[in-house]
Amino acid sequence: MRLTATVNGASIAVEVAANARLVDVLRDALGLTGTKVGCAAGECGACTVLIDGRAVNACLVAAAQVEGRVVLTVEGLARGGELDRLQRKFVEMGAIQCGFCTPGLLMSATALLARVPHPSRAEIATAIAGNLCRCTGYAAIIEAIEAAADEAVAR
Amino acid sequence: MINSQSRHPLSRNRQSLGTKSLDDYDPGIVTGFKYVGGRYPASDAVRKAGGDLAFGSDMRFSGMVHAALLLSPHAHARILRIDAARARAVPEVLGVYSHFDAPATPYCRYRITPGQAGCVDDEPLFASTARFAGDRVAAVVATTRAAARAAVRAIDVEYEPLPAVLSAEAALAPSAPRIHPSGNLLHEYCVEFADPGADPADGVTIESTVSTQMLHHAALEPHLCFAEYDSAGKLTIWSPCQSVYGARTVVADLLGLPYHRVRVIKIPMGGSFGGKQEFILEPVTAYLAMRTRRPVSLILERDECIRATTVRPAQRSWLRSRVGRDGRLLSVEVDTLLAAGAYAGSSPDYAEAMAHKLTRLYRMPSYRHRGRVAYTTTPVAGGMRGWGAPDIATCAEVHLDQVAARLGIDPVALRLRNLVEPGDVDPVGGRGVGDARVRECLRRGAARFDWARRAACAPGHGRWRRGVGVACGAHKNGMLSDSFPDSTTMTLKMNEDGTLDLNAALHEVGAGSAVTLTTIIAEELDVAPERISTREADSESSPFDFGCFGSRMTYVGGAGARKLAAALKERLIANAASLLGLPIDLLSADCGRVSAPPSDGRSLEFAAIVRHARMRDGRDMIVTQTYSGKSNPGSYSVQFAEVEVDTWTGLARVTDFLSVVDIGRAINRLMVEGQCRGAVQAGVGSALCEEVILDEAGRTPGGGFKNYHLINAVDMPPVDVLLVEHDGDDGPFGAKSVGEIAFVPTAAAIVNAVNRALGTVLADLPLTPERILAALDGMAAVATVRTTCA
Amino acid sequence: MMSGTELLAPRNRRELADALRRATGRSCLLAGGTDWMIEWDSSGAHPDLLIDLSRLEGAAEVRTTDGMIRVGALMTCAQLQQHEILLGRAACLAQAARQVGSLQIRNAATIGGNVANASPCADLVTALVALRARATLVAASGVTSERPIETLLADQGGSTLGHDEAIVEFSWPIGRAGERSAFGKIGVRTSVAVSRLNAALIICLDGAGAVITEARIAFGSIATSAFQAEDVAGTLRGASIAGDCPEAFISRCAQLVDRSIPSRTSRPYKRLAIRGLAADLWALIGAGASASSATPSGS
Repeated sequence: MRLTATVNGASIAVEVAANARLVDVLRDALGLTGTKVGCAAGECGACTVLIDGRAVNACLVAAAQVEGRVVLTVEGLARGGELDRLQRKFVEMGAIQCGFCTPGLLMSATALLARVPHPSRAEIATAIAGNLCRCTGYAAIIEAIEAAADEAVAR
Repeated sequence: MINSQSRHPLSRNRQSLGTKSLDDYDPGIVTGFKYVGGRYPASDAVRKAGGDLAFGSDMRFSGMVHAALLLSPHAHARILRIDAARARAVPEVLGVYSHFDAPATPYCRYRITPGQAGCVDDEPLFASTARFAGDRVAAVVATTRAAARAAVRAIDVEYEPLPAVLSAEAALAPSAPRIHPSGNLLHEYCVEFADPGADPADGVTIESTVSTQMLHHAALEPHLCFAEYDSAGKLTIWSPCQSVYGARTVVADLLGLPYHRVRVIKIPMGGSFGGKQEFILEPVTAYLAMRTRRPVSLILERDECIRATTVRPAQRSWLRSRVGRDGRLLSVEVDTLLAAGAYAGSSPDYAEAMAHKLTRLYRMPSYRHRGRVAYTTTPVAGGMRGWGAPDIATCAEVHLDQVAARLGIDPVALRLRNLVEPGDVDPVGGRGVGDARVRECLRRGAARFDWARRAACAPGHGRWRRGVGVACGAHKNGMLSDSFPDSTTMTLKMNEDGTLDLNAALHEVGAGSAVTLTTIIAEELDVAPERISTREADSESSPFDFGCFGSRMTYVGGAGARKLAAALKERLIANAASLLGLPIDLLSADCGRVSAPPSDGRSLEFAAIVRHARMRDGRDMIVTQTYSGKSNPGSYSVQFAEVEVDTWTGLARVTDFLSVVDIGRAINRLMVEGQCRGAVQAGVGSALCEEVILDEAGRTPGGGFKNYHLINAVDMPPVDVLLVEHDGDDGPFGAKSVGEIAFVPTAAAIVNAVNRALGTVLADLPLTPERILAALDGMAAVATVRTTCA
Repeated sequence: MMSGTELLAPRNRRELADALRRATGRSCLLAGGTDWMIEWDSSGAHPDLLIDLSRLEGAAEVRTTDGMIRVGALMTCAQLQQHEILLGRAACLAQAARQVGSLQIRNAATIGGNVANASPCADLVTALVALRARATLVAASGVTSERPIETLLADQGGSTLGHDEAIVEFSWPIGRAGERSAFGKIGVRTSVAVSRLNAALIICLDGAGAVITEARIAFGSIATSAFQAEDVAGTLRGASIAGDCPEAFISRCAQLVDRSIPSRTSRPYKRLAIRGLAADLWALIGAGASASSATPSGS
């Protein structure tokens, strides 16, 4: 079947199997390999993308279901080659070690800050509870999200 | 929080002390360092944030085909027949391979160098007898991954089931079925020391048995490997590994290729924690590439990673201490039984490493550690962060809390009575422990954690109980020993604009080792770190290095980088001396220039010296240095945990944590802190909930992370980090290792806190809700009986 | 290996019935997809027909009509957990939804899917059983019918739904004034954990708001599907809401585990831990069953 959707601001149309996973369409058909697969079962959050602004596991979404919807992946965060403020804070504050969980965490954080501009630490932790990280212990990630929120306020 | 200013990610950012967890001093002021002690993101962090760094699963090769493995569903079974007709009928399938057509030559997945001691060649490419549920039975190569996986499901195998052997105890029982022809006792060792002049003071004897469980490393990136065998007979392997030279050794020896015809390229790695230290997928992927003459991609599923790669071994240790009434250790005996799983891997060395930790941590006049390693029909055990040190620290520190309780001595006081002092010599290894600051870690940590007050608090009587626990740990710095001369070779080249290229066999595991080295070179040469490039290991072009493990990256690799930079500086000064016509000893190098004395006033930019060398003198500005390790001091950590236990559901939560590390000198504070905090995530999991579970048939439950529980953000305690820095050893600018030691005492501190909260003597990890409730229920039953009798 | 999977995305009940007429035993109804995608990925199975329910109009809303609360089958957990009608009138369902998986799962997983998949530890199912919900089904024939939620849960686990039936809505009578409800669960982690025990409690207080006059409780994870426990609920009638958690309630919960899973290896743990769940429910419902779960008293 033919799938049309908006991915990272651009209209796309690709031929997909009806039961293809969104993550495979993004990575293989569209070449958007920033979205990672860590478990293929919705447990690790490495494949988190936003559909109509909501964070979902792209490994658990049938590509067919995003017909006509707006998808945002990690590749869609930077503007004109400049990292966005969440990405910058992740880099600066040590929220990135091996980096495999990073794209998914950035997407969860993006969805959170769009919904709750000034989240508490507990709200941040809840929003990223579905994103596993083995390297950082999460603290630097939570701090980076807080700092990005603070910086948005300062502007 | 102090908000960090927006800068180039690699620029110095010392003002942005992102958390309150650091000692509140600025190393730049205290030590005069320009770059060392700053806060630098990992060198590839920008690309990781942008999503454009290609990990293995993101790589695409022209003509690439996909492999999938058929893994044994049985823990132990003879493979009688493999019918692959239905699999071969899948149109996309190129081939199906098994022991019926692959070489039977056994290899050791742990080997780094030819002739390496402690390696047992017992693992075949494909099993003829499956020795664990997860053993490789066959592989399919197809043009799509889905087809390869579908074809694997279409292979019919006839197995003759054999009895499963699921624990080391069962394996060593006289009637146990043999897993390998050599027998089930894989390795046995005894490490002993007794000071004949020791005071035979009278004391009490305390015994404990403590067990630690099989753990999954749980790197978020699943295991994978790529290989291509070209028409000229050269094999290239792309792998997120920890040693390109080791992978080369194992694959070339197995497949009968000369070493220069096997090129191994280290690709970005989504975490390892030791899980990618051994060569699990490289041999089979290389074999499939040779058979198909196509670039082969092999990517495992999460469940396959859990059961078919490597696990931290399950071990049980019995400990007996004789302790003076004052709490002084008089003798310690340990007997360890460790399950290697189906193949030897690193288990013999791993187990023996456990015997070399306690005498680096505590003074004791007499020590005896006996260990046995048994084959079992369980997932293959291998190295994991800390390499035996967390295992033995858990046993010893849980035991010591029992000693403290028996003697009525505070756990901190008991440890202070026994910990080593700087300059002590480890009686077992015969080497100095170096500038061991573990006592300072304990004293300062106890003050910072407010131990005395918190330990005096009653746990409470209600549903929720609180307790605090402490534990100490010792580890090492590199692999230098009487039988192993640790060394590394690196090349540094300066370009005509004064920038630098470092060529070292780097294996970035996510801990920022590349930026550690550039920071060290930057400090030594006084060049901004962002002007130094690094690349990852490539066995064809990188100078030799053993690999990234053994807590050697900073202590040995960093020292090598400093020596290298010093040699380049010497070369720059020598060239400048001839250009300026001045004696070498009048010149100094800083801020990117070589300068004559102020009276002379002349100076030359590094860039100009390089240009002169290349364009006028026909010389170059490149140095290669081999650094040999001089010492292997102890790394130390003392950790404090507070837990809250729900005595009705058995759920324990860690509510506060302090990690104190004797680090010598933090090169990159941001990453050091990240290592310390990240270690707690794995430590909490290993104390409370992580375990690779096997059913009675030896099978894992499946379900991936649904049944292997990692600590998520909600269950992480706040983690305070205190670094003790004395730069007293031979590391670069005094630095010692951190990544492994930071994980060593974590689980023990948590277990001790739970036991203190509940009055239990729980000693089998993990402390699941079942175990906690069973222990409380047992105590309640005892209490009821007592009440009834009274 | 091309999958010859056909996709239909009905927009209303008539189109749904048309689609169901073409369904076979190899067809799949796709709501949030969180269970199917794992199944397909691990088994390599390819359905012949995929009926995407996500375009069904009006199936993702909550309404109150004729004294009934009606919840569309396509409501996601994330929508349920913050829906005002549910927070006020069926807090146990909102609380159950809030404790399902991760945010990513809650953004995708639907109430209809939770029931159709009918895992023994499905959180929403337990709440629906306690609420005595009825499911509205559309069949291939075009006939719309209602069935009590329990009848959709097979004795062997899974659901009794035919391949040509689809759930479009759940409904139950709006509770009387003075009704409160709460949901609790015990997993291995504080959040993002499969229930090892879960329960939903609904009580009715007397006019003074002091004494429990009626109680219903349903449990999950201790049988192949969630069920109501009349005898446990009975221990709460007449209890003072301001008092301590009744001992009889706690002990009857433990007995329920003994009765339900006499030979399971999890019994020794669950019979002890269910006391904690009972106390959590009591604390929640005593607090007016607000949307927050019980937190340790010591913190």
